[in-house]
Amino acid sequence: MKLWPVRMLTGAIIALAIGYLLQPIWIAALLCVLFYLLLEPLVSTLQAAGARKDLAIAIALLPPLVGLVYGAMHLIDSARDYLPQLGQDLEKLQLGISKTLAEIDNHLAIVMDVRLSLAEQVASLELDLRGAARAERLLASTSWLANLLLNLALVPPLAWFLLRDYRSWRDRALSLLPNSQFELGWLMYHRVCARLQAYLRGLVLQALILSAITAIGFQIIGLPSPVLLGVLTGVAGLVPYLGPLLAMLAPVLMMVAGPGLDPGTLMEIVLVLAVGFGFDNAVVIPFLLAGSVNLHPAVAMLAVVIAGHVGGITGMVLVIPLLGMLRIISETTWRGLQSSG
Amino acid sequence: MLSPQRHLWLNPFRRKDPESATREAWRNTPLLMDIPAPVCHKLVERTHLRHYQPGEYLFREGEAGVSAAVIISGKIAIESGDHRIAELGPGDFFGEAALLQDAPRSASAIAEEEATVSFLVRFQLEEFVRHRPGAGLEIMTNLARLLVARLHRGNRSEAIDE
Repeated sequence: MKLWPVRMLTGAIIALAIGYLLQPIWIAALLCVLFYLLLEPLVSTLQAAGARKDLAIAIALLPPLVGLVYGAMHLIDSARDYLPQLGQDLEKLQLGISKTLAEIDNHLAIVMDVRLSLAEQVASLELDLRGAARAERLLASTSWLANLLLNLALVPPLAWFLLRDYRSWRDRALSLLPNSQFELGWLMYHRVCARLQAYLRGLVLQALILSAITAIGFQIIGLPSPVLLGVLTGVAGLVPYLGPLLAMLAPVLMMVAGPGLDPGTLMEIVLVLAVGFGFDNAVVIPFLLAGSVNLHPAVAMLAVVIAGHVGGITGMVLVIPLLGMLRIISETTWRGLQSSG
Repeated sequence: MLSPQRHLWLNPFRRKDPESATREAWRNTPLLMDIPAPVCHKLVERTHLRHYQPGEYLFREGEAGVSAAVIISGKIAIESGDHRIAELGPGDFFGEAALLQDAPRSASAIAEEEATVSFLVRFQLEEFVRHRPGAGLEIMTNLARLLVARLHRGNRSEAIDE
């Protein structure tokens, strides 16, 4: 009887169980892994320069942690200031959406003689945005905020231990492999890590570049909070294929809720996003991400849609590297099985 | 100068510490020749001790190799196809080509009797070299010397065969 399918199945079940147990702290776990992948080369360089391991980790961790603490404080301040006026803003947003849809209806009727009655159709859906801001929902969102803060508080110690002890944990885990799979396990681990590291570093750089370009663009066309909108666009850009559409949401909603959205501003927003995503697709992706995962576009598209349905935005961002990882594991296992007869 | 009665103080029942045996075996390999003892110990801490039953394969010809090995105890046969190329014993170092590249193994290694073997994985050696570039350079130079010596020996034996 062949044991490897049983072992692979056991491994998959253990991975799923660990994933399920880590569910409440997935943000902290994800951030720690990201910190590890981004900071580990820096820690190695500092160690090679003669710094002790603990000192090298402290030097590498300090700047991103200060940034994280600053971000969390800013988030709390903004939430405290903004929550009392959330209801009014949502009502304003609802009115803005109705007004914009009515304008689009009129425009279509005049230019193309088409009557879609978008405003009436949306009104018939009985969208009650103000209802979304009721006390119990606000309380639910407050507990979500508390969970987020708990996750953020877990990041520094977890990232520290991961940077300090990850290698010894890895060595112990890989030494559990049976003799026949010892070298194959190491090879697989190395290939997966190298690809994943390259992909995640590429993603972070991609988000930073897209954020910078679109923030400058939003500043030029005079949108409110251009930096925030740029950051949101950078994050939306991480979602493969659907990124540009998601990136439209924040600036459009902000304009609808605020000064109102006219066709000229909409075109300007589209232009800024087109420049940002155009540069992303023409320069950033071919140089930073091409070949790092190597999946067929059709497979990637389907996977993104399914992952979005199952795991939301996080699922959409993570599904491509996870699929790439699975591909390397299966290829290496298959080659190993073939060569060992 | 040690006293002639030193043998009276030796404990004949004391078992040799497997870690020190591994350290000693690695220090005597051509890879770690002239490398300071503390650096050797740091590298040997990263090696993996594995136990094999008689007839068990350490690796097979054609498989992707990622580690070099030192025999701590037991006997290992090296075979290519149906031919036995060599028989190795405690202290012998082999598989060093895998420390440099992803090439397939050129021969199989099989335990002839119960054996303990210590493996150094290429990726861990690379990490070590990144952390200690000075010692790393010496280790990589030793590795290059070893491979060149094996290449010369191979060329000489081919010339004799012809």
